[in-house]
Amino acid sequence: MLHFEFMATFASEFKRQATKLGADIRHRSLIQKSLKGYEKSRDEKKGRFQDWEAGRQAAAETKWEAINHLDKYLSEFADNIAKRGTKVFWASAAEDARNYILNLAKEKQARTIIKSKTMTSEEIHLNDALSKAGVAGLEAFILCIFTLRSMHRNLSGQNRSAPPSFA
Amino acid sequence: MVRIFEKLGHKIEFDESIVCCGQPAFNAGYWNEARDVGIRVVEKLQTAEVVVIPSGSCGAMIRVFYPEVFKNHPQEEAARSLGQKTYELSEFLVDRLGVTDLGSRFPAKVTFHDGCHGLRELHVKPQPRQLLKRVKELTLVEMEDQTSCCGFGGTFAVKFPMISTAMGEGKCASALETGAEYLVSNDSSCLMHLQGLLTRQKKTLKTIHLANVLASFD
Repeated sequence: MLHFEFMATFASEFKRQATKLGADIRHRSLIQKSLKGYEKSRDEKKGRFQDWEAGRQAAAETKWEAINHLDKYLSEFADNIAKRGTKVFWASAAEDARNYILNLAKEKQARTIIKSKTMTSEEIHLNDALSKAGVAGLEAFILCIFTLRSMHRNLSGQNRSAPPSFA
Repeated sequence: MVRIFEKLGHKIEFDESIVCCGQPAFNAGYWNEARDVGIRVVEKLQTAEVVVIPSGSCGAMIRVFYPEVFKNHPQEEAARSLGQKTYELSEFLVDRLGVTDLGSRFPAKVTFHDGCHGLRELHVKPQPRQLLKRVKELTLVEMEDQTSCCGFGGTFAVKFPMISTAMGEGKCASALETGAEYLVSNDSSCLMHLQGLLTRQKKTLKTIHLANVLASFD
């Protein structure tokens, strides 16, 4: 399952995993390889800027502008995605958001939910709430693209008795 | 280091009663204990013209972190002025004295490891290389991930030995790939960690401090 109950024992769980993975040479070389790939690609992208610090500054200013004018940008964003067929629900607290999602799941009798990987869902403790309600939350992110394809086939199957399991 | 400065005609004073800068306690979150140790450093070094440390780690503690540790304490001003006259060895030689050639001779192939505190807090990077390039019969070969941490990190190695070891093994592998005979650094703590790993791996690559390489003259 994707959900781990280690909030209370986070430190000991971290140490346990670190001991296991730290001794796993194959895992380490995979991480090394992807880190090096990331660094190479980062340096290439950096090389495209005449002044990459100025690029960072411009990005930071854009972010600052957005955060300080959320009243304007959020409603503009909500209007635009609503026009594209997305249903927007405004929640003023984490609980409102969780309840909305849980009620929706209940109403649709969902046993499995595929959600995009967002920090917001972490912040509102959605995984925890879903698991308590007996719904499996599956994170969908780009690296899982092949898994997602097979998941799509699984979900469209008629007599599926258990949610598909993912490593 | 004494040999180097005497050759350059400087007078050295070394106070053996200054045991430690207090960084282990500071890094572990014990600021009061770190300050207790640091007070002695601040007071005893008050009269020195400049303070040179063969370690980017202790250098960073004094120059970068003492102002934080002593903020709103009686030694605040003294700590700040101590920081302003404190240098890591290679930056002192190159930036302050303008010396890059010490007439050293070290016939070996070496690679250089940047200690995190020297590199990231004191921004020491070109200076040791400028010095090593002037050492006769020495060949400097850079390793692939020269700026990555060796994994020591003081108390980090004690709290998370499994991560520390994994990081150190990665660093050793990069150093070994260069085919160098010596792994040089300006921080003894990194060298201690890496030598421990290399010895366990039964490798012939030896660690050596930059000061020892530079002091190789007649």
